[in-house]
Formats: sequence, structure tokens, C-alpha cells
Amino acid sequence: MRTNSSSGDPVRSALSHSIPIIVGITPFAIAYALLGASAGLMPGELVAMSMLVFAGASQMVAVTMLQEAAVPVALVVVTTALINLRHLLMGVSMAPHLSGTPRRLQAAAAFFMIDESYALAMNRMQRFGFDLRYYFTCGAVFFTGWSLLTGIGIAFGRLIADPFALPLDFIMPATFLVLVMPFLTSWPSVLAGATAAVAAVVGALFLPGHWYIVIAAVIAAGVGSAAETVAARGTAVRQQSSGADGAR
Amino acid sequence: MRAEVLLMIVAMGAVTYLSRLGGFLLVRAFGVPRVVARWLTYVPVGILTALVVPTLLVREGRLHIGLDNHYLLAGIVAAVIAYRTRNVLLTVGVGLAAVFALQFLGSGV
Repeated sequence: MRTNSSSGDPVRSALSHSIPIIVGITPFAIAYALLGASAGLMPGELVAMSMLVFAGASQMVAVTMLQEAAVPVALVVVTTALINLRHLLMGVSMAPHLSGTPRRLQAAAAFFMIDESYALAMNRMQRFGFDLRYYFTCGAVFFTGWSLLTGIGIAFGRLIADPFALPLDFIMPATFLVLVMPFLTSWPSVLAGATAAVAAVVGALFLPGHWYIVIAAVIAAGVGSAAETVAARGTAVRQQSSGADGAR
Repeated sequence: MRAEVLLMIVAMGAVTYLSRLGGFLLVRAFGVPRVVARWLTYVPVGILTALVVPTLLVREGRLHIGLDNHYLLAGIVAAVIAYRTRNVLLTVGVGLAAVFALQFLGSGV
């Protein structure tokens, strides 16, 4: 993820940005496959879930819930919806950049929206504008990788290694640490990040489920945009006064 | 494949897809006022930070700050690598190595 002054080939950039992230997803996929199998799900069902749901965290929670035979299906579906609620916010922030895109492509873009493809595409958007080829390439890499790795995990999971020997819940945050850095471009964005950190920790401590992600993001964006507004006013005032100086 | 499991998977897929499409539908229906557009530019940093920080600081529903929190210490190392290199493999690799080293040191004491 080097910062180039030229945008380069979007497909090639997308491949070089998304494929390393697949490496971090691999132990996660194997863990999902093993947990799913121990929940009594059949290989085809596990792959179907990866292809139709395509949301690792919620799939992991689902197969964990299904370890108990008596869990109501509706509860699994509702939990999935709650964990994936953050996509709504991600979609709202991405949609304005696709307003000129045909609806069918927007509908396809929605399918490929995962945390990783969203983060990569929005980061590139900051520098070069939103690029559908870049976004869809990332999405295709993650979709193919997640589906294939689910299958590989089912077939060879036990032979490859014990994924639970790895700190799985550390690998994903470490990946997101890299993905968040390009967004820290100004002091309002750093302030927004700090706000999100505090709000998310407080939320994780006191709110049920995964609500803390959406709520922290909403509050952080409010603080960031308020800071930007204040900064813009300050700049405007300074420009006015320096303009007056310049007129002497 | 069993019908009831497939039905559950399709329902999970449907609610997930709706969560992904919902943002597009909202923007199409209501547009984006300028104030909201400015607000939206800080959503990525908010979401990504919220995905990272609690996993490093909160363990089993409790705030965990201290030298015995290996994820926190390794996370700080990983954050420095991430900031300086923007390299996913290096960040995850060094972060994992830090977690293992801390676990090894921690178990030796």
C-alpha cells in the first residue's frame, strides 16, 4: 500500500492490496470451517453460507451459536442482522460516490461490501476518486478467497494446523490497524479516531452485542465533522484577516 | 444439504445483503445534504477504529489495561508498524510474533 502520486492500474493495485489481507483471513476461514463442522453443518452448507452471507464475523458467531442443538433459527438470523448492521452506515458513506453508477452495478457493489473492500476502496477514493474496477476487484478477491478457503478449511483444516492455536481475535484487528491509517490525514480525523476508540470501548463494556461499532462510528463522525467545521471557520477568519493585511 | 439449514443460510444472506443495500437505498431516497456529506467522510475512520480498539482493550466484558494484556502491548507494536509501513503482512506478522513472545515471557515468570 505505497503512496504513489499516479493512480496506476486499478486492477493491479486492487490485487496487490487485497491479496495480502487474504493471508490474515486464512486462519479465520479454517477456524470457521472447523467450528461449523463441529456444529454439525455439512460441507456444502458451510460453503453456501460463505458465498451467500459473505460476512466472516457473523458467520463465526452463527456457527458458535449452532454448537447448541436447541438454538432457534430465528435467533441466529436476528443476531446475524445485528452484527451486520454496520454495513448500513458503510453503505450510506459509500453510496454518494456511486450516485452516477447504474442501479444494477450499485446492487452488485452492495453484495461485495465487506469491511476490507470498503476500507480499501474508500482509502483509494480519498486520493483518486471512487474506482469501481478497483472496488470490484477487491470484492472478487475477498469473495473468491473466503469461499475457497472455507472449502480448503473443511477438506484439510485438521491437517494444516490448529487455527485455534493462533490468537485469531488479534489477527483481524492488526489488519484493520493498517487499513485505518490512511484515513488519519488531518487533526479532525485523528480526533474522530480517538473518539471512536473511547466510545467503542465504553460501548463494548456497557452495551449488549455489537451495537458499540455503529454507535461509536456515529459519535466519532459527529466529532470529526464538528472539528472540521470549526477548523474551516478558523481558516476562513484567518484568510479574511490576512486578505485585509494583503490589501494594505 | 438440509432444507431447514439452507433456509436459515438464505435468511442470513438476505438480512446481510439488505444491510449492505440499505445505505444505497437511503441515499437514493433522501439524498445527502452537505452537513451529512461532511459527517460521512469520518465514518470509515470511526468504523475501523471501533473494530480494532475494543478487541485490544476489552476482555470478557471488562476493561483490561496492564502489562499482562498481551494483545494491547502487541497491538501498540503493530500500530507503529502499520503507521510506518502500511504493510499488512508485516504488521500482522510482527504483531503475532509479539503476542507469542509476550505469552512465552508471561508463562516463564
